[in-house]
Amino acid sequence: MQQLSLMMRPSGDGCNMRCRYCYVPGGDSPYVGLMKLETFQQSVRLALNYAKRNAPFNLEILFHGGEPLLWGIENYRKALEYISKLADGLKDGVRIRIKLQTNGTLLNDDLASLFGKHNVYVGISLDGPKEIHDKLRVYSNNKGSYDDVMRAVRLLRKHQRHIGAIMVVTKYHLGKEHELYNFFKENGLGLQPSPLIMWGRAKIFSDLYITPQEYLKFMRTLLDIWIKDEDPIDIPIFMKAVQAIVLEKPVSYCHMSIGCAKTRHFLAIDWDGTVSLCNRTASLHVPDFMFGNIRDVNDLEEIFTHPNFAKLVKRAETLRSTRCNSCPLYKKGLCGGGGGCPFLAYINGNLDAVPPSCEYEKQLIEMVIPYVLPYKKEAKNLLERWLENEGEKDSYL
Amino acid sequence: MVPAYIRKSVKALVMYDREFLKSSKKRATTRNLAYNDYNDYSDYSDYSDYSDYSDYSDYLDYSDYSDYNDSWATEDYVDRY
Repeated sequence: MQQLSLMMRPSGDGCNMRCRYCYVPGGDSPYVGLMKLETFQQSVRLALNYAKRNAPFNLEILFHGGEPLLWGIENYRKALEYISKLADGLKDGVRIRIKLQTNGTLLNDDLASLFGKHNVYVGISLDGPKEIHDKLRVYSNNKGSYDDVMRAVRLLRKHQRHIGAIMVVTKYHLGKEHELYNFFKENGLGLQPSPLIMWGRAKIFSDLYITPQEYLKFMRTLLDIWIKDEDPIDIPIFMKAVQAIVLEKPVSYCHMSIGCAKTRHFLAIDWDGTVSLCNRTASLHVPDFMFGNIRDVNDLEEIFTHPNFAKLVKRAETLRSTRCNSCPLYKKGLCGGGGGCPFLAYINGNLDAVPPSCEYEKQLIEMVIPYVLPYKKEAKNLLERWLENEGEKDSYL
Repeated sequence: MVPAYIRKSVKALVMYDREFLKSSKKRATTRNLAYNDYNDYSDYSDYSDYSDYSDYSDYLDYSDYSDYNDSWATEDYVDRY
């Protein structure tokens, strides 16, 4: 099934916080502004036209940043109504999901209610208990944001069922795996751990830095906790690894695809209409990752055939045949071999090389393999039964 | 019996895609914007069906686990990271 994740950056790099590890310069960046509603509508309209031509199709509209809630409730009200109106006019085969990744501090009851009404799935950035979170996710006056974020979690829970959480793994998290797992479980949250990227503001606060080995050890412990839990929480990286092994397909992460540009599954639209590949590459503001302006095009094909976009497709193809073809994960079919994340390659100094992160990503997935293989056949049967709508009768559910 | 972590992972996949996979003709309405009626997880994309598998699907061989512990890393890599 074809898909497109359309990442909207309605406030550009703008943010009301100054998290110590942010890879986006935030309020210190000159790339700050509020997206005009016409720019948003043009983006969604083109994406839906593309989706309809390629149905069946999953279209995901993801608000990201910076801090996307800076866009304000009136813009969100109009934007969500616009999407609903277009979706109601669709005939067949296009499914739309709306998501928003926020620091939560600007959320109020009206916004939470609006997001609940439109089924906007909200991901919150939360780094664990107060004593850890408040050291990292701070306002410009260095005040921690934990209390405000947890207030947002309560508001969101009042209006919808599922909330996800992204946690950046830093020095402060090491050795606290059990405490962190229990914290997220007690708060009814899934957990997406993400390693600190030494870029942007994180370069200033080098005390937060963790090595790949430390990150892998952290994840190893987390995996041990997860597999022993009779009622495990959602940890997407592990869940995606399980799914990939059972389905015999590459792990469904952008950096493990045949190439994020090659898939044509990802586009980011900055506040001024500048088109990039994803939220990360958009934050770089460099020509390698710019494909024109959405306000100047009539069809997404014009973006996908832009010379800079074509270069990234070529990068994936070249790296597959020169580097990825010797990687065990690629040989097992668990990675598409697209040369890894181009953002991470770029900040490592060579866009045309495989980024160092490929190594720990590979080891992370391989950690999970032995815990799935013995059950692979049974899990596949289970999957097939559930897909045939027999799930309700199955005791496993 | 399939362990809980596998059930959870597979269930997330199924709950999300079952209806849509069964009928790609399903009408997209405001109601279908909903995705919090399944056991969602906090990341962004559902299982991607990348269209181009043809040139590496032959490599699917799960019988060879010998290289699980291979170190692809080098000291040079660690330093650069």
